Amino acid sequence: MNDGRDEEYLWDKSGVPDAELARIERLLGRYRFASASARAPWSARSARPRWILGFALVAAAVLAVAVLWRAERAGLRASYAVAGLESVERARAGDALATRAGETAVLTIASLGSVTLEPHSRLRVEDTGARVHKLFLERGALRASIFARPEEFQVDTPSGLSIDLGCEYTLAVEDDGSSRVRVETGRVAFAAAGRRVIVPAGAEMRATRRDGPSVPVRVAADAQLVAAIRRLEFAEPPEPADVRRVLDSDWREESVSIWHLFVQARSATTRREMYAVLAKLYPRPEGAREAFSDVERALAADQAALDLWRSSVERDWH
Amino acid sequence: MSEPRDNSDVPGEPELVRAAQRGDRGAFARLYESYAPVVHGVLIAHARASEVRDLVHDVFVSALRNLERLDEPAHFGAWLCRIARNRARDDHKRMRPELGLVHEPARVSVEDHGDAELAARVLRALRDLPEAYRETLALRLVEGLSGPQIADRTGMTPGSVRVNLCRGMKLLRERLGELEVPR
Repeated sequence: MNDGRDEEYLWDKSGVPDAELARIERLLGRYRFASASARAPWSARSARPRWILGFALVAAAVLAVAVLWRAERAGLRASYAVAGLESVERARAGDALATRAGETAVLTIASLGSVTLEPHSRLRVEDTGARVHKLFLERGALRASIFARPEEFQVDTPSGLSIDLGCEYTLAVEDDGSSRVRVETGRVAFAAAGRRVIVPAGAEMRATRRDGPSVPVRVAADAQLVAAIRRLEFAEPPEPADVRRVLDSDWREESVSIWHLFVQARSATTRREMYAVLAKLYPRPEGAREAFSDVERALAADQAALDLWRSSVERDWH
Repeated sequence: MSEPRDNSDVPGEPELVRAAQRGDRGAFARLYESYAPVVHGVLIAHARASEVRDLVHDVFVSALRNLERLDEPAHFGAWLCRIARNRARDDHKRMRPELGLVHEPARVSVEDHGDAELAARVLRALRDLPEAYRETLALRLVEGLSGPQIADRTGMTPGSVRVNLCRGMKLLRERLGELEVPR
């Protein structure tokens, strides 16, 4: 045991913890908060003594009764009202809805809001649960206007999951399965392929099956700037002209793109350039200054530190 | 717990809270993103791990409904932690005591199942600590926040956080020794 060393390491993570503290931290880190899309799965279990098995069976029976009771209650709201389609009045989990050319359908998502399915689109209802409402947009477009808890309403697509953070937005799926999100108010998170981007109001994002969600860009951004951002995300090494174009832009106005380039550009050179911009504009949070004291540490920062700094940056995301 | 500290030195956050109070859902979403790990850390210090994810949502729904009653936006973090604490206590009263024996599901693969059992025991030991220690340690060891981050987000003074971490860790080491948890 080393109280003095504990104190400094626990306080600001400076120095190296002893083996016991490091192990405790690693073990407890398993319980760390994760977004809904990364919900903790139940782990497989090894063989257990019989009394535990007996207890588990009793507990399971009690749980089953509780689940049935809850399911009955949930059944009252287990479908969405549908307007605009001749043959469909309500949609339940598993139902598919399709619109023809010139036809739209409006789904009332419980008390949360509505989803308008645009012409020539196909949608499947996946979950009408009490905690999560989930649709799958196979093709076409929808417009969502939702007032719900963050992450309570989600729309899956062939190229990733869009997670409502409280807003109005449009989501479109092309024939090749790629998606496009454009946000009008609030924000949407889009997650796939181990990446998660935040699309704020006034921005849009594209996602493909292969690469997942791309760096969001402002809808009103200059077309050449948008093209440069799109190239910078994957270029290795980056074109100096593309870097220059971003550096010559209004940093605060384009901060949503600059932040996401810093986090997910393939090239470390690009990420360094973006870090330099962000470091000039946004004070490193008091609690994470160490994590962002230089570019190398910033590039290796953990998610909690990144989230903390992003909370400063995103104040410029309208 | 210590008295809340004024968080007005965090630029922009009170404005974000005020915007959320005016009905700006985007502002509330940003507060959610920023504070969800903190709420999760407070909850896991009290409630079963399998329940915590849902309780996080409940806490934010409660916060959204009652946000207009928050007089001082700079105290948002401390206020939110209080809601989380109360929600965890309500949940604890609701649950039958024996359900506390249910295995705590850590995020694990089949291969490291042994570590999962150990993690559950360490978490239980942490939850047996006095409230101030267990919450602060959960934010540090489970959520990975540093001491200054904990102070910023919960409204506790940096001094209180430092003391809670140090004393709590000492106590946790002792408890783990008594439980003969392999170290």
